[in-house]
Amino acid sequence: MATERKKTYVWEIPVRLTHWVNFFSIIFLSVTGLYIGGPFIHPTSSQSYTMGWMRFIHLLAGYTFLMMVIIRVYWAFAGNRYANWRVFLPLTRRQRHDLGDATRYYLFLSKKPPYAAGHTMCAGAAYFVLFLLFLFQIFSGFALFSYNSPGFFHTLLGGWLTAFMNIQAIRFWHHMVMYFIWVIALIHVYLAVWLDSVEGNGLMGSIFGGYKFITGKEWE
Amino acid sequence: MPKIAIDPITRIEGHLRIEAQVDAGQVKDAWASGTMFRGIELILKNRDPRDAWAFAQRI
Amino acid sequence: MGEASGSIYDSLRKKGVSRRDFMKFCSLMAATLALPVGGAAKIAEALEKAPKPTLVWLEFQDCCGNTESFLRANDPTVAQIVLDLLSVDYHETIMAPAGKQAEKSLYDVVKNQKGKYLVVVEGAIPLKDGGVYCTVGGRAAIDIAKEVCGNAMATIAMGACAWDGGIPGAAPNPTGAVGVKDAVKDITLINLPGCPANVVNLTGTIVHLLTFGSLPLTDSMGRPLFAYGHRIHDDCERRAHYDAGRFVQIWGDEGHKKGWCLYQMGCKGPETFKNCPAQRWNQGTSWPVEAGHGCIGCAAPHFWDTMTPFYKRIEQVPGFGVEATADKFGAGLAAATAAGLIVHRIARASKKKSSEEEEK
Repeated sequence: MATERKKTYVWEIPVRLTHWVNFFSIIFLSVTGLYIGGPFIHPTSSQSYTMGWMRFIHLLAGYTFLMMVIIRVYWAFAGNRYANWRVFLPLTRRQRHDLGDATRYYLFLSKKPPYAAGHTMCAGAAYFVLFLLFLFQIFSGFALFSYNSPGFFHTLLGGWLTAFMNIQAIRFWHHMVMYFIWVIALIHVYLAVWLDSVEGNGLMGSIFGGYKFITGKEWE
Repeated sequence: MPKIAIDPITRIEGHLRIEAQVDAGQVKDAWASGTMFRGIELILKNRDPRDAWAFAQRI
Repeated sequence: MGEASGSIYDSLRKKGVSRRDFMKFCSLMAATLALPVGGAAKIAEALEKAPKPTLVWLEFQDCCGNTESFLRANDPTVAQIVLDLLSVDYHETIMAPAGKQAEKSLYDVVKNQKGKYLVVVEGAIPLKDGGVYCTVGGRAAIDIAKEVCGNAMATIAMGACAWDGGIPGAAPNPTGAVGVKDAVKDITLINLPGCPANVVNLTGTIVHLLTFGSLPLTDSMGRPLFAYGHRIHDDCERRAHYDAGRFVQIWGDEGHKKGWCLYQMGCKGPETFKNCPAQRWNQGTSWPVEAGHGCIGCAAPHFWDTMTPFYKRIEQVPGFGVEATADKFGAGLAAATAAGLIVHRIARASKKKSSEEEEK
């Protein structure tokens, strides 16, 4: 069926950049983090520096991740309307309505897919929760690191958390939230693949190239 | 019959109170009281059994 | 034990301690306190002039562990003598009098040397039920603490129990046990956490007071920085094994015999601040990690609840049993999500199929 398609630039470079750098950072953080929590590589030589390297990569990836979060927060105010901070919270009545619609569709309670040029409200809300989890990982990670390197900078980045939670609780939740992030990532990929085939507007391609080919069914 | 109390008993580990009922220089009745309680058995409950030795060591 | 007379140095000389041994002691104290060059000389000068201060030692809900630590100040001999010469006027475990005579010793100091004596508190103070779970001489611990600490020059809370309630304060804390800082307000207080605290840190604190007329610099939790400023992990002699990834997996394995890092055996060194690797215990004989057992984090706040299980790096997921580690729980969660998504996919496929059939 031929439909008028309008090539729309939805995801700007900072959005796509932070998305993919986060993707790789989280992989590095997870693998190194799992090692740090429970070393699974057994030493082979007397020259090994395994834990040293794992912690180094974890810290590098952590700082990279922090940079991406800062860039994305900035872009939530400086970017186009699809990147704007307002898409992440159900502020308007229309948004709250869309949130209900999208959830009903996912649960097979409605046959109307949630077309959207940018994020559906469900996606927006989920990414907001994800963002809070990211923030917690950054704060708790630097809280743990501040024991290694005390000082103003690391206290600012997360050391302050030790005044509210004991260090072992911080360690426990830092570990658990990683799994929560995996769960959201799994659901995210599943829904992206599904919605791409349903909406037919180039959703999957857009996170690489930035463009969607909207059919007019989306709420602009 | 006068009753004497010695509290604290010193040069022991822990807290002890001794009371004695004395009649003409002879002890007719006596009581010993532990004057401190912590409840270590209650604290031990629901914990990993491999940690138990450390708690019990502090009795 | 009696009234202060003559300086500490005079008393030492009278007891036959040589000048050389005295200077050795001053050097040891300067090192413990991490003083700069000239510290030993400053300590010597102060002890030559300082009169014997009076010290009273209170024991509440305790196991006597800190007294045992105190009694291990055996070598160098001078440290023990200095502690003797502190005129320890009241200590229930070692003093000669008992009962009313013992109490008289305590309250004489409180009355006659108001504002001039030191107090060491060992053990927690129970607050529940009017403080009845610890009484001495028929008086509740909380009342004794308020009076004795309230009139002292300074109070040293020695050990985990006197700091934050320690073992009696561990969940479910049946007696409402708290440390001195939460029981008595508006006093000059310094905390020496540890289960027990190391006597070297007690001696260092007192010598600092005698030398500089003030208590040592403390962190935000009132712990002297000279003793609690470094992490165990950063001073540990097995740190190279940690960085290399050489960990003991099972008690008695090859790694354990070779002295590898005890991280996976639950060592809480990365979480704990204390000078055990530097000062060690029993006159520098050894410390837990050197002996082959991980640190249990006994100087950390509420360690009985926060640092347990001692043999696990992270606590278990509450409510799911002793073997429910965060990894098992998290992996289970991820697996459940994946399974749920597969079910969702199948459901979608069957719905699509049935709607296609309807259309036919």
